[in-house]
Amino acid sequence: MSSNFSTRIKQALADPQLRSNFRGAMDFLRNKRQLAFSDEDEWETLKKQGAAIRQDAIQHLPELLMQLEQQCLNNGIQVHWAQDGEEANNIVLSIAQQHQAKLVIKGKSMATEEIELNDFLGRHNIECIESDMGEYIVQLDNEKPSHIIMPAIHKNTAQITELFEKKLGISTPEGDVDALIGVGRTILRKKFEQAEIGISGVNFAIADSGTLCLVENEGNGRLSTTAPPVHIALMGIEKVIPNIQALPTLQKLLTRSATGQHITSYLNLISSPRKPDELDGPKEVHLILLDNGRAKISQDQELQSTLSCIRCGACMNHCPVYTRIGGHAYGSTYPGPIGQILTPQLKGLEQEGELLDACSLNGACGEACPVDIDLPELIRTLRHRRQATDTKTLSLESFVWFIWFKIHQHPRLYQFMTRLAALFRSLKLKAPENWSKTRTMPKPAKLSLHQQMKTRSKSKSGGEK
Amino acid sequence: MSDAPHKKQVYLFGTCLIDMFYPQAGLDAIALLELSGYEVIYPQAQTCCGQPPYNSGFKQPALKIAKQTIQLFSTKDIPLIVPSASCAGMIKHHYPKIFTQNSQEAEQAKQLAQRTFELIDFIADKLPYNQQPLHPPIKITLHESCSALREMNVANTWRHVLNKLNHIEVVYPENRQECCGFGGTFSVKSDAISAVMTQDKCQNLLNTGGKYILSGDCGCLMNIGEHLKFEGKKDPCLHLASFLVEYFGLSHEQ
Amino acid sequence: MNEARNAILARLKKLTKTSHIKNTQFSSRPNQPLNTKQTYKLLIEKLEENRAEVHQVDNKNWTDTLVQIALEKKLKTWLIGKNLSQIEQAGKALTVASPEISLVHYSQDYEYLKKTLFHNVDASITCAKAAIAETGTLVLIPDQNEPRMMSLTPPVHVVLLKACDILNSFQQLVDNPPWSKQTMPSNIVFISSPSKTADIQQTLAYGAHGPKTLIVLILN
Repeated sequence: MSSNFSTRIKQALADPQLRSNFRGAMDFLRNKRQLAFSDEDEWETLKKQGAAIRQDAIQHLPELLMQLEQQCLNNGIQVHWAQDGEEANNIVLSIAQQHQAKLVIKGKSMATEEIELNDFLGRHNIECIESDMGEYIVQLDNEKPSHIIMPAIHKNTAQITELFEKKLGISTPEGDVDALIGVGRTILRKKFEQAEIGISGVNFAIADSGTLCLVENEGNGRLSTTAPPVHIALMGIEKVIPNIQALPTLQKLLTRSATGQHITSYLNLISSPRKPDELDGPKEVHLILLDNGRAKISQDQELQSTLSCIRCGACMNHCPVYTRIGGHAYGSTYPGPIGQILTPQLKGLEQEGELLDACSLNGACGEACPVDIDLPELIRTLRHRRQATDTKTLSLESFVWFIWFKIHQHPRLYQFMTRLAALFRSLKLKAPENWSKTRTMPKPAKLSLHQQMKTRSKSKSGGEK
Repeated sequence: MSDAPHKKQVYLFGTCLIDMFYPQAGLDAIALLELSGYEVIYPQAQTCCGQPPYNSGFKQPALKIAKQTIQLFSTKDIPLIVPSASCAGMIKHHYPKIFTQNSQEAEQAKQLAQRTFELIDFIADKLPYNQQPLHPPIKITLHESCSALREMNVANTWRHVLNKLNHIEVVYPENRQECCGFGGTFSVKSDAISAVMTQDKCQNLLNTGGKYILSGDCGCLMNIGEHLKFEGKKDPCLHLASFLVEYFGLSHEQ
Repeated sequence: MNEARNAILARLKKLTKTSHIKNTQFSSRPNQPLNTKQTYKLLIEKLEENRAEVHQVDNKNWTDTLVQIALEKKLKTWLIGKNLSQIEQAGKALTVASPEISLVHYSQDYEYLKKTLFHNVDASITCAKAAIAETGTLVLIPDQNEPRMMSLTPPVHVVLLKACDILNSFQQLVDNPPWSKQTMPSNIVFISSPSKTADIQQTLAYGAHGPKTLIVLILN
């Protein structure tokens, strides 16, 4: 593990407020999800259906995307393709410049975080303001989201109250969440009115009708995609689904897994800009299809299921590591188990492979995944890939496992080593000091099971050796 | 051999942790299997299932050890009993995947996987529940390991077995399904996170007030036990097999 | 940009199957086909669970209920759509009930009505095309008569729903939708509660950006 990642982890673990905030939040979200899926049979049925829909879509991406494009174009939605973040950002910029836009308002989109759109627009003197309450709070504090569904989950009410006072000069009564929300509402309302462009993500895109589906509770998503004259939707290419028949299953899995809700306050289906006889809605709708490494993943049989992800956040909510270190420690757009799997594939195993170490392979993530992605298996596979491409073949760990192998390959050598260990009562494990900071060393037994079994079989007649 | 000609046989895969640190649990496993009417075969050439390097990303050493292990337990077509949900999981679920699809090794692995069982799961319906010795009431805490809960899906069986015992009160820690922080090499590679998880688990286990902390996985028991000892406390950890042997008043050979 | 499209599609086509997408059969909850009465009851239960205010009305008295709501909650400026006789009826009833009540017809482009929509409207009333009982959801299809913003900017949003338009499940709706499959409506909105958020320490707060109050009038 790099010292940066290790440092971030240690800092997080040593922060009692962070620990308490995340513990409380994760317990809360897990309980809500549990209630929403209390019917085991229904959970199994939905999960199987959802997994099938997603796997099928990933295996038919080119035809689905082409169909989506055609239908969108028929509907009057302009479609753009972006190979990477730079291309996507430039597409947004060129649309913004065409409209001489100075203010962009964002609904919620993790894909835009992935490509760092806000900073990019800022460098071009275009203000990009977040309208989701959690994102707004995080933006105010110059931070990145720490969770893919609840961006400000690492902050408690007191911290947010203090933040509003400090950055906005607005005081609200202690513990008054309604007041804080009221402040956000007032400030952002003006922005909805003024913004020339609204940007959103896409939860699912329906190929056969050219429809963008967005879920939300606040209404900011609808406002961002309805009030400004131009709406730009940024979507990872894996988010496409074949038809609207698939939507109910995926919606149920998404909202119940994310927040324990059977459905969010709003589900918005956008199929076209303002039609000639309509009075509102954006006059232009743009869909940007973002690759940024996803096409490559789709070609990899072992890792393809990464793309089934519907971004519900259940994996991180159930991860005992994420619960303790929080989202920022991962240092990547996507934290938690899905982040550990996605980030090395999008940004490179060599740079980001260390994320894979922050996992005990306990399996809680895979168990909670509503589209049945075998997350632990993907982490394991990526660890294998990392080791296979490791240029430092003479690394300490390689050497340790080489020795381990030699010992365990030869039963007599293994038994000899065991006897030696028992004799000296010392441990042949790697880096014992990491163990013994908080644990005593287990003592090898005087007589191993092998030895005792040998004695046992000698005292009986026969028995295998 | 003087044994009855049709006595059922099983293999025992002792696991490296039990072999080196907790051999009594291995002997107790055998005692329970014999009580259930089986002759236990323990091939001396067994070493490890290969999970440590496999989980760490080192597939090749794991693959080679796996091949060796499969050969060792494929001489007879009899059940392979593993007193560890984690090692059982490795053999049952990962061995078939570690080899090239449709290769001979993969087929052999699948064959072995089909007859691999976690110990308690295997003997659950074979224990003499209608001949339980008298016991003073005792409260014990069950630690359901991740492998038991998820990969091998035997945690329910562990519960059912304990619930069938008279005068036993079984209690569970808060956040009972949360990992204890061992995770094999995770405990040393991500030691800071592991330490915190272990601390939390130990605290939750102690808060239940059980006399013993039971589990079917020695990795977890070692992690928990050694942490408690570090904190100056007693080590109340016991393998489920050892508890059951004590409970049913079985003696075992030295 | 064509370059990007070609490059991405080329990358995607290397290993993917060319067979047709399987037609997965989707079932709603495997059990409980509800009858009309149960469906009706379930819808109300779910709506109220999610903090919507529900009134059961009939053709004769529904405008009375609407007027009562307007007076009790002191809702003075009402945003209504056009070309809908029931809505016209409602508008008349409201203005007759009190001199303080005025109507805003959404009959101009959004750009001209923006200020009013954001600042000067107390409530709106729109029609729902359908409802889904299993989640307590209203299905609105904004169009030239009832534009999108109507259910978005006012702090109070009233929805008129015909009981006969209530369906059991979302799956049922999409299998037989109240819209043209050939030409999708530009926008379909599924509304299940007032606007809310739990972004601050998981504490639920209403009226984040959308309407703070959702009132449903179910026409029997």
